[in-house]
Amino acid sequence: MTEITEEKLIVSDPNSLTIAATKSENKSIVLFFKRYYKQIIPTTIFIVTILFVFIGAAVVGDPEVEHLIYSAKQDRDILAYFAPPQKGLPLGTNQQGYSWFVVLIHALKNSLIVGFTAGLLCVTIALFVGLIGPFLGGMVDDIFVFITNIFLVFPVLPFILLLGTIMGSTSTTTIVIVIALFNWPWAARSIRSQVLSLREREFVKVSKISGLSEIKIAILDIIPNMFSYIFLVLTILINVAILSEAGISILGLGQSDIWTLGRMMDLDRKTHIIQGYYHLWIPTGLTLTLILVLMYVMNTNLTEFFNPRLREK
Amino acid sequence: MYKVFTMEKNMLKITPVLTKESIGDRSKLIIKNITSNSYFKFILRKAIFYAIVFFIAISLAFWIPRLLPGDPIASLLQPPHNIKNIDAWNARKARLEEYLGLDLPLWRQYINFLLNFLKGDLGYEYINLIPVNDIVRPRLIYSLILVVPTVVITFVLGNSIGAKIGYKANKKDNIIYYIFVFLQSAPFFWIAYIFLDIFVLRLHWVVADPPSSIDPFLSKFKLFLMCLIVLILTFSGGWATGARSMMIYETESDYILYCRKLGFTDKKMRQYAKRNAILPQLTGLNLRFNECLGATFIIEFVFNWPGLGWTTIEAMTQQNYTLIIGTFVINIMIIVIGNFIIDILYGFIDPRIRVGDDN
Repeated sequence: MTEITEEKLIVSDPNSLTIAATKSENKSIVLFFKRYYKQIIPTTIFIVTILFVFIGAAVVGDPEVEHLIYSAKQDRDILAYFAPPQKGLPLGTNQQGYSWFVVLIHALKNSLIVGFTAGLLCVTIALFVGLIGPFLGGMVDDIFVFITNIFLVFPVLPFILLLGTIMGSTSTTTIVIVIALFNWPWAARSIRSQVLSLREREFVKVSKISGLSEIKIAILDIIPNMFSYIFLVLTILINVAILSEAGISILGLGQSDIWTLGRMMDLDRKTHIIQGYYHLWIPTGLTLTLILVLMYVMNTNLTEFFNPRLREK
Repeated sequence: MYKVFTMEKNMLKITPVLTKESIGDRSKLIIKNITSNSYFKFILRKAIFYAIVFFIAISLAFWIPRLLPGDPIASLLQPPHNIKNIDAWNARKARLEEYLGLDLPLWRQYINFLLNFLKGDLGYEYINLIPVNDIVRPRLIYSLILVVPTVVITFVLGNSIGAKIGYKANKKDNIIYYIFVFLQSAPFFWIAYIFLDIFVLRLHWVVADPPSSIDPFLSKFKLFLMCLIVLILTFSGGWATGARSMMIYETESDYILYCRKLGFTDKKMRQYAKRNAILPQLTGLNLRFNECLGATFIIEFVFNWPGLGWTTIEAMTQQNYTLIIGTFVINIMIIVIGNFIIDILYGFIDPRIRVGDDN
């Protein structure tokens, strides 16, 4: 009897318990990191980049406004069309005298926003088409598959060129809509095949037997189970959208409402490369490349995380 | 050796388990398959599908300029600001009006448009009154000699490298993999910028001036090579990373594990896995082809390569309506015919499509 009470005492000693707990927690964090470092590192870098870009854009202010303030103060020597990099101007200035670094931060922010908006729009269309088709079946499904197949082979770039020429100038909204309109088909196709395989699972059959309506099954059973997949599709689509925006801008069909990476690269092509301003055109392309590579690595590693069969090697 | 022998024996034992009736059904099915020739049906179905795609695209090319707000056709008929020769302008305008048939009702214009197109008449170009066909034909060849080699070379190169680095996936392979990841996700036009800077502007090895007329091909050979290298570099990445992950997937499959247990050679297993890993990649060929065509446009534009993409953008800056429509139509034709050929090839390589049922 006495021994048992002693044991109880030891266990109930609050100090020893907390120590043990923190030790095991520390260990588990290290283990967690060791196991998932491939997922944690790119995701963290990505989140930090986004924070840095958004806070940075708010801090440095608008490039045009900033330029006006500087020229009012006569701060920079003659301000500087194509000023070389110097203190306060990490990347020098462009043809209009805007600090290229400030422009770059804004462009990255805007490109991410454009990419995210277009990507989200794409996913919405793809989810709608990929989910409704298999659930309604019959004619509707056939029509949706047919439309998807048509959009899959539709000549995107010639069409954008035609649209751009005829409309004269493009706005950011048009670009987002055009990108979204032409990039959903493959996403819809893969979401559809996911839905088809999920529909055959036991838990969906149980829901059916218990009398849930098709819509409820779609919302309660199918979508939550595809959440990780949809997230992965979204990251790819953001990548595609950022790249498409840049491509459209380089062809001279871009918008001129806001600074984006595409608009900057268009200027690079027109003047900066020919005149040999390496400090202007190298950082632009490098930023675009790095953000795309980062998102691609994040996407593949998260795919490994969600699909353990790929994780072995 | 003995184990292999027993395996085959077992397989032989399994097959005759079928009853007489099912054998009869099966032979009937085979006969039906041969007589109905589902490969032919498959091709026919695809042909109809692409004809519909073509029709829709052409119709959009007609209706969009006419239905968009702001009447773009009318704005095309406005004379430019700094016009010198007003008579030439009026002749041009009359020519365009005649071609478009603007006095006819809209549906008649549409039918005329389709009929003209079926006759192969793309009208006259707007600035110098040259037939659009004559302008587009050489440009088409300039584009095709970039697109077709790129698609073929990147498919073969990317997939074989991807399959190679996916089989063992050790440290050395992973370094190659990350290079391909970089090439895949890096924007191809920026790589084109780097090439432009190094080889054209610094080293002066290649001349990339805007083409005044169609130059003899040999003088452009270096430029052609440069365009091709940029396209191949950037487009093999996607194939390689895809083939690698397919290969990893395959090497974990049961049949490879079984082969390993049976003591197959590494080379043999690699061969089996590679074939199965690359086959699904073929389904991506359509998408890649379209992507590659788009990329070729931008590369043409950056390097001043006088292909279709360059012509389209040139027509765009001149507001040359008939030439824009002409290049658009030719682009659609390339995409539709290219995709059709890829589908036929796919059916040719994968027997499941050729002999399978009509799904």
